[in-house]
Amino acid sequence: MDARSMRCEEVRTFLPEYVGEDEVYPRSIQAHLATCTACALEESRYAGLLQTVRGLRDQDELTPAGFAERTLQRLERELAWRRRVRRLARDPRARVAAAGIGGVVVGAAAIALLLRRNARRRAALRAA
Amino acid sequence: MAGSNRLVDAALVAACRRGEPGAFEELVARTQHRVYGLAYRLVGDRGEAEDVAQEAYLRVFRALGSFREEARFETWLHRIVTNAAMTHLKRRGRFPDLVREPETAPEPPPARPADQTVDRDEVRAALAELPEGLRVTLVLREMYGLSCREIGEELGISEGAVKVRLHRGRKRLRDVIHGRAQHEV
Repeated sequence: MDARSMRCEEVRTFLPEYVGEDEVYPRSIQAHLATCTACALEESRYAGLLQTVRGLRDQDELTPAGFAERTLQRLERELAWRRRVRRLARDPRARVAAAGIGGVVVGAAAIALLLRRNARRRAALRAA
Repeated sequence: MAGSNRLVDAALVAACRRGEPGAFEELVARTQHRVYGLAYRLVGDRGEAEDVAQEAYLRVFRALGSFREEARFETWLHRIVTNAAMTHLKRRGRFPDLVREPETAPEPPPARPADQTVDRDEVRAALAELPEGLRVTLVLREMYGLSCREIGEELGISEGAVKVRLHRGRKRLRDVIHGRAQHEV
């Protein structure tokens, strides 16, 4: 890129790409910025803006009133739920019940499959 | 100051992992403004930010056992908050905005005098006006110092796409604040 051939508009399209980054401007842009006050001002405006954005990080957002309490209550509810599930998993009666329910579900699925297969066979026989 | 913060954070995390009573409460009390602040900057809404911050703490609690002590707690915490915010935005159906930018930019506001400085409240308001995808990228890069590669990993996009968003985000932010017309040559 030739500095003399670069117009302000072109230079400004590159500014947001380089400003605030470690990469250095191409020489042609550097040369333009060294001689064009308006573009140099525009660059410093970008730099100032990004500086302000970075400064926002140090400004903590105040949490809404009661935030910590609500968070801990939510955590407590989740822990209570987990404890209940764990207790249930250790209870032999619950295991028997779960095995029973599992057996019923598997049995029902097997019966449904058999019925479907028979229905298909009958339909095939009728078609033949 | 940052060093002593880091030591306190590390001690608190260790106490939480040992299951010491009150340690997690202390951790929440100490980090809540940081966590809520990041959540708010990412989702741009105070009510949603509370949900995200709470979800992040649940994730922190579940994952404390897998936290490697040589890692920096703050970085780990920020990553969890960012993940929680991304999950939230995707669930809210705002994911398309995270991966695709709107075709047309809104008309910039009237130009302001060149020598007028920008205050933090103005910048905060302007950031909130940006589309999700641009705001999230700018916040993670400029405020939290994540590299383009790290941001790409968080958002599930390429490093090149992150650079494009940074470019657009900075330009859009500048347009929102200063207006575009006055420096046309």
